[in-house]
Amino acid sequence: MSSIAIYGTVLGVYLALLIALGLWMAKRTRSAEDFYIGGRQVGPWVTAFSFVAAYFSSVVIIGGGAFGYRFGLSTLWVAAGNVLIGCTLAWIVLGKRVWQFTKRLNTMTIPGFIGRRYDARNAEVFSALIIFVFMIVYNVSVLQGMGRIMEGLMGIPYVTGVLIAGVIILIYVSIGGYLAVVWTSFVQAWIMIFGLLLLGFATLNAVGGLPAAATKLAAIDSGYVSTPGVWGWGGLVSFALIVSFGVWGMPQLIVRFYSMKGTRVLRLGTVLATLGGAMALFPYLTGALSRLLLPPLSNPDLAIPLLTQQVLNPWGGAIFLAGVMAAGMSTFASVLIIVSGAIVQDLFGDRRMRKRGDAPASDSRTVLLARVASVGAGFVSLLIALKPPALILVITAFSWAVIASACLWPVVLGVYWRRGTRAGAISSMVVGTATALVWMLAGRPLGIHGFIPGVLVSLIVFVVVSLLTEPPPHAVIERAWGKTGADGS
Amino acid sequence: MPGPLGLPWSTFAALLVILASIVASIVWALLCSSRDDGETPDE
Repeated sequence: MSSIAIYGTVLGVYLALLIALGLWMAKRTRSAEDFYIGGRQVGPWVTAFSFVAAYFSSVVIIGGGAFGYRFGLSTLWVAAGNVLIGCTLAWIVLGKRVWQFTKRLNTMTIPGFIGRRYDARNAEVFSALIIFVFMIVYNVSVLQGMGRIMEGLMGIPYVTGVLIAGVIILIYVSIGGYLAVVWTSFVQAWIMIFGLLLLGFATLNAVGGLPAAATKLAAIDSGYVSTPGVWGWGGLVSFALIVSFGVWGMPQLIVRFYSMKGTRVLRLGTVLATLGGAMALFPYLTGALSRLLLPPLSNPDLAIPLLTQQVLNPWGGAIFLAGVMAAGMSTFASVLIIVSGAIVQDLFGDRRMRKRGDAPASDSRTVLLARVASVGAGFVSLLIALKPPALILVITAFSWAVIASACLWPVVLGVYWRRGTRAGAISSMVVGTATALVWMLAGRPLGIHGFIPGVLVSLIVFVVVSLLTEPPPHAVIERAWGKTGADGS
Repeated sequence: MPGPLGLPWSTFAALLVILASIVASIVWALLCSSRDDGETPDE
């Protein structure tokens, strides 16, 4: 059996499994709440592993490996940040409160939460627009990653690879909604973990173990084994913060807390998400070690595909390819649900219809609209990805920086700080977004990514404007915190 | 000079942070369980 046939067989079985899961979940999707947050009935295993799958996209595996190749073992600190800040602390700090608040406020989306928490329709629309535009941009990079890996490992033309991946995701997301996304993500997380472990241990075996590999890397350049090493503090810290702390403002990840069937899900879920998140180690580690096995590369994005061909047999390579595809597809699908929610619920939702005096849409009509919106948003990403405008990691970091600058503090302070006001939230979102955009368009002064100034300015503006304006009305606080303030908050 | 397990110190420390995160999540889950034993179900 040729290696291409093996790759095709494994990938075919995997893609058929995804469509079957989508069809199965379609029967359980009857209302908008089912479509967007799985009817708030998702347990710890599926919540935790779908969080991990949505967090680590194909971009992290291919791009993380490229960073490992370029900067060496100091990139393990990025993985450490992913696990501690992006998984453990995110679940402990945000999980319970986000679940409680969104349930009290009866909202299914991040813009919906922001709008109701601050009683500000314009904040809801602004955040929905930011999410709509930049999540589609983010999905372009995810599709791009999948197209590149299929091109590199299977020889499938880039455009064909993007179309195969994109169309299959559109099918199972549009018919199965959030439940299809979390269940496919659950399966995809295990395939990713297995693929990464396979590549990780095969690479460690090929280089003679980590201590021996560290010695050989140090002989090439001591900067490959020290911290910050050849990367420098500015690059290491800002990148680690974007992909770790940035998670706290990412709608496709926070929505996992909405959909839990109760706060008890958090106990086991936090442990499982941390364990699953620990796999973030492998792209960086294998990327760093690949320098010992590969000839000098002009394009570091090729490090992981080439390493896979070198240390794994075709069956192992096929499983790893399925893992990378799984990473990309789970992220793409999760983002589609978020974009669909932003369009149907927040920009043209029932609230707006009621305001106009129209009757709210029926469940079947809302679900139909949600399906159409998810297909439309996916189709736009697909079209752009056929001829992408820039490099994968550039697009990803750009979109994450803008979304986090707009949403992070209104969400985090929205569940912890009663004094946060409507004016504080809106001005923080607008100024934070503008700062991140201007900083990046100015060519990243001082070598710092736009995420850092965007999030810092957003925090300062939120706090200062909130303290300078009237406290939120009692009714708004009571609606968000509950009548007794039973959270102890 | 190599650190523990023959690894560079900074590599060892990064791996230790990952291990500590796993331990912290388990301890947090156990504390939550012991606090909530016999109490009311979720909202």
